[in-house]
Order: sequence, then C-alpha cells, then structure tokens
Amino acid sequence: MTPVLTKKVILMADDDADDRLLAGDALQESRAESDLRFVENGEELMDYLLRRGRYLEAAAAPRPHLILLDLNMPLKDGREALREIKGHPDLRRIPVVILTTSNADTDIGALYDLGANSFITKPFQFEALVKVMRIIDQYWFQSVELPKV
Amino acid sequence: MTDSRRAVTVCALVVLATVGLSLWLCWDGQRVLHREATSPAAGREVAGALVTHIDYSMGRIASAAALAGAGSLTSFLFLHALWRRRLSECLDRQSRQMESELVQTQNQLADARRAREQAQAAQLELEAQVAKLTAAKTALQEELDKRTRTEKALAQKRQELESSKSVLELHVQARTQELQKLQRLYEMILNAAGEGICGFDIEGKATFVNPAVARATGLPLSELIGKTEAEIFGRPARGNADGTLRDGAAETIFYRKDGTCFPVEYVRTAINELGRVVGSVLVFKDITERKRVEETLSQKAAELARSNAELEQFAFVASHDLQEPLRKIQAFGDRLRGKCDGLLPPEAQDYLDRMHSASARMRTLINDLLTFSRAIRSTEPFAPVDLNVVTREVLGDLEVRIEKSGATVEVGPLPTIEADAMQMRQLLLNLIGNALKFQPPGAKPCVKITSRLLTAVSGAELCELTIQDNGIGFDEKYLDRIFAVFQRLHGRTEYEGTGVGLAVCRRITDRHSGTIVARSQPGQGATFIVTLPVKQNHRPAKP
Repeated sequence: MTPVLTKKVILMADDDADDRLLAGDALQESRAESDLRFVENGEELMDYLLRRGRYLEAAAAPRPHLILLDLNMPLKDGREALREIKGHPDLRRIPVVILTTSNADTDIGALYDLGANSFITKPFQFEALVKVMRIIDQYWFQSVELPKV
Repeated sequence: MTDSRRAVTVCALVVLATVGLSLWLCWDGQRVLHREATSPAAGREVAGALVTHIDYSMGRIASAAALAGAGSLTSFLFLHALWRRRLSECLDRQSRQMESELVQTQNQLADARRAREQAQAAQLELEAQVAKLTAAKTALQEELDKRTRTEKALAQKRQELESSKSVLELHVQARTQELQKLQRLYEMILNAAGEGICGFDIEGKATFVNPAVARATGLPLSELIGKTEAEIFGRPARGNADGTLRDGAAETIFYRKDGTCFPVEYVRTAINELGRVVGSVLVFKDITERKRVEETLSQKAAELARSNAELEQFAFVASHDLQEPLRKIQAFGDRLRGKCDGLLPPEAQDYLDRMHSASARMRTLINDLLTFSRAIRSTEPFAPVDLNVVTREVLGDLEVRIEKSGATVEVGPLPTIEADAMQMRQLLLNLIGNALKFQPPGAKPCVKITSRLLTAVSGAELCELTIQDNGIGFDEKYLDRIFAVFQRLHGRTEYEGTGVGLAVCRRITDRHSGTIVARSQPGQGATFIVTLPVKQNHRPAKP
C-alpha cells in the first residue's frame, strides 16, 4: 500500500457548535490523521463544494474525501444538500455519511435512496463518538478504495 | 254251469262208449280171425272172405268211431262256445252294472263334497255377520256412553257459564270505572306533559292540543283548536307540500307567534281507523337546551382532542428535542472525566458520576417517552402477523436474560392476526420482559404464553393472549396505576425501569381496538391477558 502523503479531507456540515467541537476532539482522540473542516449549513456546504462565495479560492476549499452531513440545518437542510450533491455529475462520487441526532422518525431508506453512503446516529457517550471517528477513518480511508480526486 | 258240465260228461261218456265198443269189436274180431286162421280146419276161402269182411267192418267201425268222435268234439266245441258266450255276456252285464254303480257312487261323493263346502262357506259368512253385528253393537254402546257424558258436561258448563256471567258483569262494571279513571289520567298526563302534543283531523285541523303547545308557541289554547300545522308552527323547511311535517321522527325548527324560532324533536304518527287514515298526532319537544349542551360538548370534545394532540405533539417534540442537549451533557461530562481524570478531588469526581448516571437515566426516560408517544402516532398499516414468529424473535432478544436467570419460557401455539408487527413485538417484549424482571431475588422465572380464539358478542373473532409468570405479583388495587405512564410500584433500586412499558402496551392494544387486563396477587405471580381482534376492520387513522 502506498503511503498517504496528504491528509484526507473530511468536510463536516453541522450547525451545532458543540457537535463540531466534539467531533474535532473525537477525531483527535481517535488519532486518525485527517483534516477535518466545517461548514455550518447546507448553503455553505454547496458553496464550499462548488467553490462559490468565500470558497472561491481552491486552497480555501480542498475537495473533501468524505462528507459528514447533519440533517437538520438552517437555510438548506441535509436532505436538500444530499440531493444536490448526488445529482451533481462531479460531486456525486464523494462519499456522504449522514451523522445525525435521532434515527427514530427518520426515513433512513429515503436517505439511502438519495445516495447516502452511510447513516450513523450521533452517540451519547464521547467514547462512542471517538470510536465512530476511528471506524470512519479505518473504513473509508484505509479499507475502501476511493476514486482519485 | 251244471248244464254245461252235464253236456260235457254225456259227450265224454258217448265217446268213451263208442271207443270202448269199437275196441272190443276190434279185439273180438281179431281173436276170431286169429283162431280161424290158426285152425287147420277151416278152409282158405272162408278165411279169405272173413278177413275181407272183417276189414270191411273194421273200416265201418273206424268211420263210425271217427264220426262219433268228430260229432262229440263238434258238440263239445259248440257247447263250449255257447257257454263261453253266455259267460262273457253275463260278465259284461255284471261289469256294466258295476261301472254304473261306481259312477253313481262317485257322483254321490262329489255331491257330498260340494255340499260340505257350501256348508263351510255358509258358516264363515254367518260368523262374519255375527262379528259385524257385535262391533256395531259395541260402537252403538260407546256412542251412547259418550252422549251421556257430553250431556253431563254440557249441563255442568251451562252451570259454570251462568255463574261466570254474573262475575263478568261485575268485571265490566269495574272495567268501565277503570276506563273512566284512565281517561281522566290520560287527560291529566296530556295536560301535564312537557312535550307538546296535538292531534289533527283528516283535513289537517287541530282537534286537540295540550297546554305545552300553547306555552311553546305563545298562542292561547282556545286559538289553537281548528288551526292547521303550518298556522301553528310555521312552514317546516323539509315538509309536505301542504305545510305539514312528514310522518316519522326527526328534528326541525318551529316558529312562535312573535316570529322567533326554536329547535324541536318531533314524532308525527298517522292515526288509522279500520285501515283508513283519519288524522295524525304530533308530539314535539323543545330541544334548545340540549342543542346548546351538545354544541358545548362537541366544542369541548374538539378542544380536548386538540389539546390532546398538542400534548402528544409536545411530548414527542419535547422528548425528541431534549435528546440533543442531553447528549451534550453526557458528551461533555465524558470529556471532563477523560481530560481531568485524576485532577479532580474525589468529591468532584463523585458529583460528576452522579451527573452522569442522572443523565443516563434521563436518556432512558426520554427514550421511553418517545416510544410511548410513538405507540399512538404509528401509521404503520395493519398486516397479517404470525405471533409465533414475533414471540420467537422477542425470546431471541431476551436470550441473555433468560439464560442468566435460568428462566423457562413455555409458548403455546399462537395465531396469526392483523396487526402492526413492530407493535406486537414491543407488546410481547414488554410483557415477557416484565415477567422475567419482576421476580424475587434468585428465583427461576417461569413464563407461560398461551392463546385461544374467542368470538365477541358482535361476532368478531378475537385472539386472547395470556402471559403468566411466577414472579412477585402485585395487589390488584394498583391495577389502574400499572397501566399509567411513569407509574411504578417499586423503587428504582429494586427493579429498574421508568414505568412506561405497560402504558405502551395499553396504547398498543388501544390502537388495535383491543384490551389488556391483569390478574395478580402479591407473591402469586401475575397474569396479563391481551385481547386483540383477529381482523382489523379499519385502517389506522393518520394522527
């Protein structure tokens, strides 16, 4: 296996600052060598991916290897963003992992229909979140062969 | 016979004499001849003449003898033939006589037989005649008896009738009085009745009205008689062309004298006499108050339904949204413990642990509350559910607990019913889970799950599920409490839980138009009986 030279970019779309903080901490704890970047809603996510607005500069918005997507966000929610990403000829290749609060009243099947690659419920314990981060890293960046960016 | 025998004897004697004479002549001649022949004295001539003479005599004798023999024979044969004929004639005569005698005898015999048969037939006929006569006599006797009896009974009846006639007359008198009393009573009732009562004749004119009609319409009683329905109550919105109401029971609006109106409930009935309509009766009641109460009630019901729905929504949203901050509390608590492990004083560490366990408990509560509010919000359509499969899955989920406690679970054959599969699973999980949980310490739980099919009064098929355990049981005075949400009979330290499980069960049975009841005594185990329709006759409504 060829050594990874550049860090894998994970783009997390979540309006909750606490969750962003916890995700960052968890990633650090998991010792996964990824570059975690954040956007705060669906609009910003699309701006980032399509290099619009404040993400005009390519350096400011390196193409993510994986998107962690929350569902309930202002301006544009996760479902709409997912539909746009999976409907875009270029962006559709980026794996999208839904990471959201409750799974009870969510139609998980509909999300997979839209092209979601995984669905994970945000765990209650921090330890569990660390584990999620570790598993994401192990699965998507060390086990799975992704298309070249 | 004697004649013939005599003839034969004569013949025989004649023959014998002839033969004897002939023989003697023959012998004598020959002897003379021989003497002469042998004597030398005699000449040859004489001898020759003699011999010729002798031969001639001999010839004559032989002829005579032959003739005599022939004559005897002929006479014998003739006599024999004659005798024979006479004998045969005699025999014939005798046989004919005998035959005729035989025929006569036979005829006599036949006559005798016929006579006997006739006699027998005559006897039988006679007997039959006698029997008939006897029967006729018996019938006549019976008829006579019956008539006698009937006459006796008739006489008795007549007596009775005469006595009852006088009783009847007394009755009629009493009845007439009663009827008069009743009529007065009916009039009183009509006058006192709160309902308006009026009668109309065939032309639709009022023939009687009670004071209630006057009170309701504002018209004096005296003015009401002779008026038509439309004149008294105003034209009904949905009535007949002539302004009368239709026969039957319904609600409508009546108008007062001053033009104001009021809602009524009425019954209008045609009066028939001998199959001909001769008028009608109208009974009505002012239902203004009832209408008002009904309106208020339906408003209240709508309000209640709305507030109930709001509460449901609130419970759902609250529990849903409460999860978010709770998750943070737990996560940051974890961070604090992780980052400051060993740095915090033991007291602070203890507080942190308590916070942690409290938030864990809150999470359970919220989850259970969510389950509870989802139980009624579910919109899953009902489909055939094999309860055997569901129970098997539930026991699979509880496998660890069953093994750990050494429990035995007996499952009888269960039916397939129309239900929400997820909710059936939840129901059985809660009930079997409880049976395993509420046990004295160290006991080996024994759970029995059985079912039977029943038929409701309405004819609907029902499935009765019984979940019986040998656990600690409970006092039945707490029956209402155990099915209410967040109600528990034990401290958290004794038996864990939030008090939602049975409330969820009740919601599930409610949603399936079923029931859940429990039977128990402290220390005697508990039995939960769930009754569900085998077929759901409606789709669940969307909340």
